[in-house]
Amino acid sequence: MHAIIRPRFLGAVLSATSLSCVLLAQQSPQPPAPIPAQIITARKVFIANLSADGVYPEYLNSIGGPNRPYQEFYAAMKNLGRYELVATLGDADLVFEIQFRGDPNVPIKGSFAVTILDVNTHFPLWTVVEPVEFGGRQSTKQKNVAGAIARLVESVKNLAVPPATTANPQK
Amino acid sequence: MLPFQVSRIVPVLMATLLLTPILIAQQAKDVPTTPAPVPVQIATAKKVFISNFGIDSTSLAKVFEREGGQLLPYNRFYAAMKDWGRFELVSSPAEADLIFEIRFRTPYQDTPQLEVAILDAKTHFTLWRIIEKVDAPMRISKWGDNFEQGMNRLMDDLKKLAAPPASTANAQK
Repeated sequence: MHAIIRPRFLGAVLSATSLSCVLLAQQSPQPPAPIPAQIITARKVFIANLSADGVYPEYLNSIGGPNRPYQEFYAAMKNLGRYELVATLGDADLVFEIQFRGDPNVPIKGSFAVTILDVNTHFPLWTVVEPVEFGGRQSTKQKNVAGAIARLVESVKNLAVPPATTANPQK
Repeated sequence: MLPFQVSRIVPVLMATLLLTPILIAQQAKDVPTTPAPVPVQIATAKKVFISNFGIDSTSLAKVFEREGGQLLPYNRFYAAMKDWGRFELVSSPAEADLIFEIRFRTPYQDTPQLEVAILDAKTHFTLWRIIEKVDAPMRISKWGDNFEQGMNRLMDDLKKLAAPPASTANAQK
């Protein structure tokens, strides 16, 4: 009995596996939509401090005040070195707006968002969002902020230096 | 005492029942029969820049991680727009006639939704906004299906809007 079932079972597994491979190949995901060329070609960036959306002001106070996300993000972007951080909008190719956003649906966490704007048209090109858990202890809060900002900068870095396949313009 | 009360209530009820259809008919007459116009820019535009407005819902961050990352709304919308072929998708806002801002968010105590804001590239004014709900499923594995359904409805809305019948394609003059 065992000997009879085993080859049948193995056959079924093999055919299911090969069928899955075919189906997966057929359902191959569409190539990612392009990243705007300005983000890839830009060199100079002005960072704007949008502070917070006002949903959880007490959270920002607990992590060092309303300017904490801006200060943390600015320092991390400077360390990254991908863009020259300029002091005026007139010198910039792009504007990065950093903001903390509360989520009224989830009172234990929010997110840090960076909106990238085209300096000529003022239209937003892209938005990167990183969730942050508030945390209870002060040390946990500080750790969570630093971690979320680091992930945010990593996302900006990946966006600004994308693989060759996604670096094409939107055409 | 009781028969007196009933005799007072019955005529009031009768009058209400008789008057209601008349009032409804009058209200129906007040509703304009011709639909308000769709801004002419939407019908005539050729070039569109798609702006990734991101995800506003931290509550769904983990779902998006599982279902293809936070670029899912942008990637899916971009692919659907490209498949449709109605607009040329350009690489910068400066080249565009219209800006489409795609966004996913969960309003306070409400169902998650996909939103597309359509902005006039010259004046920066918002011309139109399309919203489609993405129903929260009982099982997380079904979330992707619900998202796809929401995206399909969004594209159907957009197709109706950007290719309206001749009578509604008039300019807002």
